[in-house]
Amino acid sequence: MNCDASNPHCNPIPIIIFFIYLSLFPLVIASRNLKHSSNTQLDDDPITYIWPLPSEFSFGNQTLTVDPNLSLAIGGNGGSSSIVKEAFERYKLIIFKHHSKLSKYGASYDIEKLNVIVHSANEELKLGMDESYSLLVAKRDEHSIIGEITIEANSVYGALRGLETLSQLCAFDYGTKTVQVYKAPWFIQDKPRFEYRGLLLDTSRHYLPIDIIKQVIESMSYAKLNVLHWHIIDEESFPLEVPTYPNLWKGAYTKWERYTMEDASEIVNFAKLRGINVMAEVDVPGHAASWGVGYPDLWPSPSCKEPLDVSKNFTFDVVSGILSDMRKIFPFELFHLGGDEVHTDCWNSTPPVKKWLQDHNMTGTDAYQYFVLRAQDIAASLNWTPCQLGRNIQHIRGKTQPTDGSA
Amino acid sequence: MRQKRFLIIFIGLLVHVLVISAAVDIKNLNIWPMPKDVSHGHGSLYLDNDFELKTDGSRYPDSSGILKDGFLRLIDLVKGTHVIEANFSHLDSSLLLKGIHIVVSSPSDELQHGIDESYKLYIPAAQGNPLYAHLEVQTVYGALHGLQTFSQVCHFNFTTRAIVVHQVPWTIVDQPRFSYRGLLIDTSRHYQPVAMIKKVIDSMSYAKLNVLHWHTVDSQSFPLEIPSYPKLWDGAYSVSERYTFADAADIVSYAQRRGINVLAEIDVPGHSLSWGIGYPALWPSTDCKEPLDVSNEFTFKVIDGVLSDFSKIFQYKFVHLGGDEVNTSCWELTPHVSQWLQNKHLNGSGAYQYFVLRAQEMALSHGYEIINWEETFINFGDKLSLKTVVQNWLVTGVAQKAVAAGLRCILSNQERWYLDNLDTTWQDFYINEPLTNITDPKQQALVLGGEVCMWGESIDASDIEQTIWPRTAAAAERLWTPYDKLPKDPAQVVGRLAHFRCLLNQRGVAAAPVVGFGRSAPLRPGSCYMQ
Repeated sequence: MNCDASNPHCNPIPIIIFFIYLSLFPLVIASRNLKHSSNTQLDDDPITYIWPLPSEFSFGNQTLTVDPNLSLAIGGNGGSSSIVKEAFERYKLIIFKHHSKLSKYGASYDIEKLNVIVHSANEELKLGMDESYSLLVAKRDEHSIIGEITIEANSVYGALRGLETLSQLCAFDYGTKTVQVYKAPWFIQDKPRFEYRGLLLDTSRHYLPIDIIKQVIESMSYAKLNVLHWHIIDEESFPLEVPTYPNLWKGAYTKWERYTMEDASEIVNFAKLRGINVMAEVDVPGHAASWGVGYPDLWPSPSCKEPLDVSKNFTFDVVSGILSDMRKIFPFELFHLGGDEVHTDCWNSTPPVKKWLQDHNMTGTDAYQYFVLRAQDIAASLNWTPCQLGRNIQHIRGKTQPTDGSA
Repeated sequence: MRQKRFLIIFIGLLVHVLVISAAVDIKNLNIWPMPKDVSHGHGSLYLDNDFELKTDGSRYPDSSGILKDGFLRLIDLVKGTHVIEANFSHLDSSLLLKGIHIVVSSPSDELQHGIDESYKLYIPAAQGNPLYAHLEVQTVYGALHGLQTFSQVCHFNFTTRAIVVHQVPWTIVDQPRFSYRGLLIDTSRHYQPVAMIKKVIDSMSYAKLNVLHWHTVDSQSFPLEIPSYPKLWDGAYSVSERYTFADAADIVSYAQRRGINVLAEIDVPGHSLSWGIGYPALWPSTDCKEPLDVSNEFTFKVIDGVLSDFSKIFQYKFVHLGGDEVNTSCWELTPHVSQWLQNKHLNGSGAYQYFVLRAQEMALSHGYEIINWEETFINFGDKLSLKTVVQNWLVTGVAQKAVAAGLRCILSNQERWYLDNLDTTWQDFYINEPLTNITDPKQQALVLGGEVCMWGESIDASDIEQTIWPRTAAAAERLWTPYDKLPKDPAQVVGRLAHFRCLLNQRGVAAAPVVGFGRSAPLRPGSCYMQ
C-alpha cells in the first residue's frame, strides 16, 4: 500500500513501525553474528552447546577449570559396574584430547573429582529402561570441600547419558591450555521424551566393515540415540553366518564380505557398553532373494526368486533356524520381521505354489498374511516381540497379537 | 630315438610353462604398492594366537618403542577385521607361524629425507621347526614398511576363523623408487581437527607414503600457534579451530612413529592475508592486505620468529616457503611501500625476488633447506639458493627445466595430482610419470619424487578421507614401485586397486569407490570389490 498523495486511505503508522523494525533487524542479526564472528576478536563469551537439549537445566556465569587427572568416585548399587568404568575412560579421552604437557596453568584446578552414583545394579538393556540422570557441576564453596561433578542416575545407562552431556560441557581453552566448563554451576535434570530413538543400517546393499559399524555406534552415543536397527539381510546379499543353515551366507557378495556369529556378538556388546540396543531385522517374505543362493528350494522357482516359497515347510524351518540362532546373540526384546514390499506374483505364477494356494483357499494376499503371522509365531515362541513395517498392518489388522510392536 | 627327443622337448616345454606360471602373476598380487621383487609359493600358514616379535641380533634398541608399537599396530590391523575363534589346539601345529623375527642394522631412529627404507621379508613354508617370518632392514622405518606389507598378505579365513597367510613361502625384497612420496593437506581453507590429521597420517602409512606436507596457513585463516608472535593465531576462523604448539609437536611425533616426515609450509609473501589480523602492520594497508609488506622490517622479524619456532618442532630437513601466485599491486599502490620500492630501485617483481631470497636466507640460517613453488624458479631461478627444491605444480615441463638448471625438484602437477580436482580419475593419477622427458641419469637423480595435493577450499573433516582415497593410492604406487613394473595401461591394476580400497575400508578409512570421479558415491548395491 503506497503512501502518497494519491492514496487518501493510507495510514503511515504501520509503515513507520515496519521501517523501524527493519532498521533494528540488522542490529539483531549483527549481535547474533558477533558471537560467531571470527577474525575480529577472541570470543570473550564462549557459548556452551548441548545436543540434544536436556529437558531441564540451569546454569550460572562462572568458568571452572577441570583437572586432567580427574578422579572417579562411585556410589550406589550400580556404581561399581564395569560399564561405568569403561565409559569414564572413554570420555576422559574425549574431554582431554589436547596435549596439556606444556600447560602453563598452576597446580590447582576448580574441579578435581567426578562422582557417579547409580542406584540400580540392573544392567539389562531394554526398551523403556530408565535413561534419566541429573548432573551437577559446581566448584568448592562453604558447602563442599572440593569442587566436583556429580552424575546421579537410576541405571548405568542414565549415567552414560550424563557422561555424554558432561563431555559437551567441557571445552579446551586455548589461552590457559586447560579444559574448562563455562557458565557453571550447572544443574541438569534430563530424560528422553521417547524410549525408542533409532538409526537403521543396511548391510545388505553394501557390506559395512565391522570397524565402520562400531564407529557409527560410537557416534550414535554422542547424540544419545539408543537403538541400532540392523537391517542385515536383503535381496542383494546375505552376509550373516547362520550356523543351523550354513549355506545361507553363500549369498554374501564375496567370501570376505561376511559377519560371523562372533562378529555380530561383538557388535552387540560394543553397543551395550554405550547403552545402545541392537534390533536385528530379517525381512520376510519379500526382500529375500539372496537366501536362495545357498538353498535354491527357498525360491518359488529359479526364474522367480521372491518372495520366499510360502508353500514349503522348509521355508519356515529356515526362518525358525535363523531366528533361533540369532536369539542367542540379540538379547533385545524387539525383533524386526520386515514384511514390506511383498509382490505375490511369483506365488501366483509358479505352478506348485499356485496349487498350494488353491488347496488352502488363499489369494496371494491371504498367503502373505499367513506368512507374516507364522513368522510372528516363531518370533514370539523365542520370547521376542515382532516388529513389522506398517504397510501390511492394514491387511492383517485384528489378526496380530495384542503385544506386537508394529512399526 | 626321435620319440625320445620329442619327449624331452615336450617335458622341457612343460617345465618351462610351469615355471612361468609359478612366477608371480602381477595382475592378482594384492599388495599395494607393488614391491620391487616378489616371489611366492602355494602353501598356507596360520598366524599363532600369541604371534610374537623377536629381535635377536638386532642392533636397534627401540628405546622409544617405535618398532614395538609398529608391531602392535600390525597385530591390531590383522586381527581387527573379524573375531578370531579358531580352536588353536585343533590346528596342525606344523602350519603355525609363531612370530616375526626382525633384525635392524642401524641403532638410529632418526627419521630424515633419504634414509634407507628398504626391507627384505621372508615368510617360510611349513617345515619341521618353529616357523618365524624374517624381516631384515637397515632402519626401523624399513621395518615399518615390511610390517605393512606383511599385514597385507594376512587374511581372516571364514572356515577356520583364524588369520591365514596364503601363498607361502614369500620372498619380498623391496625399496622405494623415490625418496619423497608426499601428500599435502591444507588447514587454512578449512580447519582439520587433530584427530582427523592423525587418521590421515595412519592411512598414509598403509600406502607407504613418507611426507606430510602441512600447508599450515594461508589468506583465509591462521590456525597455528606461534609462540614468538602470539597474536598471529587471532587469524584463526574461531577460538576452537586452532592448533597449539603442543598439538603441532604431537602431530610431528605421531607421524614420525609411522615413518612419516612433516614438511611445514608458511607461504610467503602471497597467500598471507590472515597474518595481519593479529598484526595489522604486516598489511601494506587496511585496504590492501596482500602480499606481506616488503618495506617493513617487522615483516621479516615475524617470518624469522615463525621459522625459529618451527625449528623447535619440525625436524625435517626441508621447510616450504611458498612463494606462489604473488600479485604485487598492493605494493605498487600503497604509498609508503611504493616509496620504498623507488628508494631501492626495485619494481614489483624485483621486490618479489628480494622477499623470497631474504626468506630463504632466514630458513638456511635455521638449518633448513628450502622448497618453493615453481613461480620463484620461473621468475628468478638463477638467483635461488642452490639448496632450493622447486615444486612443479602449474606448468608441465618445469620439472625438466629445474633439473636441467641443476636444482632438485618435486612434482605435483595440477592436471594430474590435485585431489581437489574431482574429475581427475585414478587412472590419471596412476600414469603421471615424474621422469617424463628427463633422460639424463644425473638429472633424473635430482627429481626427489612428488606429492598429491589435498587443497582445502572445498573439503573439510567430513569428506577429506574419501577425497584423498583411493586416488592417492594410484600416485603412491607410481612413486614407490620400479618403473619397469608399472604397466602402461592402468586398467591392468584396477583389480588390485579395488582390493586396496576395500582394505582401507576394513581399516576404517573412508576410501571412495574406485569407479567414477573423486569421492563419488557407489552407484548401486554390490560387492566392495566391484565398486
